[in-house]
This record gives sequence, structure tokens and C-alpha cells, in this order.
Amino acid sequence: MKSFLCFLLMFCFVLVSFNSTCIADNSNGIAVEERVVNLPQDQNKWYISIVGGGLCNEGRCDLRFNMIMNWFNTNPNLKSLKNQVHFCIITVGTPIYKERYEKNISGIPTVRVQKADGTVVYEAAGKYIPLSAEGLYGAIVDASQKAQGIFPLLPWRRKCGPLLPWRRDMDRRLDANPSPGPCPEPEPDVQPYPPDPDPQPLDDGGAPELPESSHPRLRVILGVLSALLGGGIGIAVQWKRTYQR
Amino acid sequence: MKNIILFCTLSLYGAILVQGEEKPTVNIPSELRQGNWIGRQGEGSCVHASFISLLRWQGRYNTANYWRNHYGNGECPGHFASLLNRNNIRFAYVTNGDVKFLEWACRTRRGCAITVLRGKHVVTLVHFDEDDYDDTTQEYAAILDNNNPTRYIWMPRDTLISEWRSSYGWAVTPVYSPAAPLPNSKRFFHFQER
Repeated sequence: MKSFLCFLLMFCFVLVSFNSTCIADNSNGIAVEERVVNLPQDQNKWYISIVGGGLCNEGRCDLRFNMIMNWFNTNPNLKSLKNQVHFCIITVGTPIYKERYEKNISGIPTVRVQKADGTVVYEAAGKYIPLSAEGLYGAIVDASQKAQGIFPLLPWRRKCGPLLPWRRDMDRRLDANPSPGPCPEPEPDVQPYPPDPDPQPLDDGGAPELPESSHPRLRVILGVLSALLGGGIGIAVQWKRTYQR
Repeated sequence: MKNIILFCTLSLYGAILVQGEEKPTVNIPSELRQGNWIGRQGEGSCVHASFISLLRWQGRYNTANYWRNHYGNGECPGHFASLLNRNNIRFAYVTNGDVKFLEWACRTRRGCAITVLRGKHVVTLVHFDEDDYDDTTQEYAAILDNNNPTRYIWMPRDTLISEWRSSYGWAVTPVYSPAAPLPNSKRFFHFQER
């Protein structure tokens, strides 16, 4: 009996040690001493760069930049989008700006959405950035749909028309006074970089999950078409029943 | 003559196609590259220098500057990991020479600091071609040496692996968001009206 119990104990011990070895070897990650780290496979994540900031640019303050940054912290849609991408804040004048943005942006501030391979899905600069957080989110969603090959059905909707008269007037006013508001004096001892942002959540995410359509136009068109089709079929059937007897 | 024109056309086409990829993958701006320095104990600070360059590439400028002002000298994996943990820095590392780690680090555009010269020195790995198991094409790797951070050093991928593995196979990197890739103008989908 004793030898049996001893054998059983030994068996259990071997089983436990074997099992622990298996866990260490088969873990889906990199074994680091006793720790196992699951590395985020986020190579397909998109990038959003917000370029701007600095203190004052030629006597004008980049208030728009701060406002856009604020949108990404307060608007639920933009906040959710921010958490699904690599979010890069690029301050004007920094080395990363000079080497990687200065030559390829058209104005300050700039919002740029890129795929992991560098393809620009959406970019807007200066006065062409939508005036509200909702507008910016809608523009990004539209652009991402176009990037994925989803186009409006109607051909005349594919191209933007000329600016409407009231928009022209607004553009003229924006041109005349692009950054309203007083410009504070730059402080003497200024940190070249803003505080490091909170780290992005780690996941294996690829392209961000965006709604299929921000505008109901596609659904409306499909709805109208199916209603017309249904109505037509109904009329035809009824006409047959009524007059072909 | 026709052949020459054809060759030139094909070369030009090939060059245009290749232009889309940024090489090295982790193309750290020269001003953000941290050179090696002598610490207070008279030792080189190559581990710290490589790690600081990567922190800057991943947008953690203040953390990098803090690190430069507070730490230095030679490091071993355990102590360096404890420093990173103490400062609440998100990082990943291996000490077993697992090549998958290097592939992951460069695939996700983060790069990593790796040991070379039998563990006496640490450099930044900035490019690492994935192994396509095709013997006809040569895969390359590139490093940035903090003793001369002005230029990248390119070498065959296998050479780098041998060097790294014979140097205790330690690699470490911060895990934050890397700098965005350069815009790929060949494949613009949508550009807002200017």
C-alpha cells in the first residue's frame, strides 16, 4: 500500500512538473525568465497624426490645434477612434516634424490618417479641417470608405461641386482672419515638447472599426429603390389580376 | 538600342515601385538619436542611449529626457528591467536570442536595442527583413550604433542574427506608438481639397 501511495505521489509530482514545462514552452508569446509577455501584433494599425502646436506661428496662435486635440479627448467617436490607432501628436519645430512632416504637409494644423503602409486615407489642413468634432469624424469615415472602395452610387455625388455662395463668404473671412483671438506672449522658459500623452491601449488591432456609413444617403437610396420596385411589382400583379381575366 | 531603352524603362519602373517602402523601417531623425556617453561610474551607457533613441521614436520625449538625466553606465537585463518597471515604462524584452522578437519589433516599426560584440555593446536595431525562406534573395538588417549615430550600418540578416546570438541574445524595446510612416504618395486614396 505504501509503495502504491509513494508511486502515486511521484506520478503526481512528475505530472505537475511536466505540465508546468508545457505551459512555459507552448505559451503564445516570448518567454522572459519566468514571465510571459504577449506582444501586440499591431503592425496593421492605422496612424493618426495631428500636426500643429508650438506656441505662436508668425504671430498667430494655433488655437485650432488645441481644439482638435481636445476633440479627440472629448468626442466619443473620435476618442474611440483614437484608442484604435497609433495616435501621434507632432509639434511644429521638433526634429520629427522637420524630417517627416514639414515637406509633405500643406498647412498648420494638419490632421492625417494613414494606413500602416503609409497610404494616406484622409488629410486636411488649416481651414479645410471640418469645423466640428462630428464633422471631422464624418470626414474620416467617408475617406476610409473611399479607401476601401465604397463609393456613392450616384455619379454626380462622387465629385464635390463648387463652393456654395455662403461657404465662399465664410472662406474669405477665414482667409482674412485665420486665427481669431489674442496671441499670448511666449513664455521664456518653455518645454520643447508637450507632456508625454497617455499610452495607447495595447491590442492586435488592424484598421479601426468605423461605421459602415456616416450618412444615411446610401440606405435612403436603397430604401427608395426597393419601395419603387416593390410598388411596381405590386401594381403589375394587380393590373394583371384586374385586366387579364 | 531598343534593349537599352527597355532596360532603362524597367529600371525606372522598378525604382518607382521600390520607392514606396521606407528603409530602414525605424528611420529615426538624426536629432533624436542619442549618442553614447560616459556615466558617473566611468562606464559607457550604450543600453540607455539605444533605449532613449527608441523612446523618442515612439513619441516619449519627456521620458527620454528624464532617462538621459537620471540614468547611465553599463546595464544587465535584470537591473535594466527593474529600472523600467520602477519608472512605469511599458517595455518588452528577451534574453534567449529568439529571432521572432526582432521580427516583431521591426514589423511593428518599434525597433529594439540588441546586444553585439559578445555582449560588450548594445546598438539599436532599425531594420530587419522578414525571412521569406527564399534562398535567392538576400535579406538585410540595419543597426544604429550609438558610438556613431550619424549613419546606419547595413548587413545580411543572418550575420546580425549570429552576432546577436553570440552576444547573449538580449533585446529590449519600449512598447508605445511608433512615429507614423512617411506618406505613400503612390497610393493616395483620398486627399482633401486644398
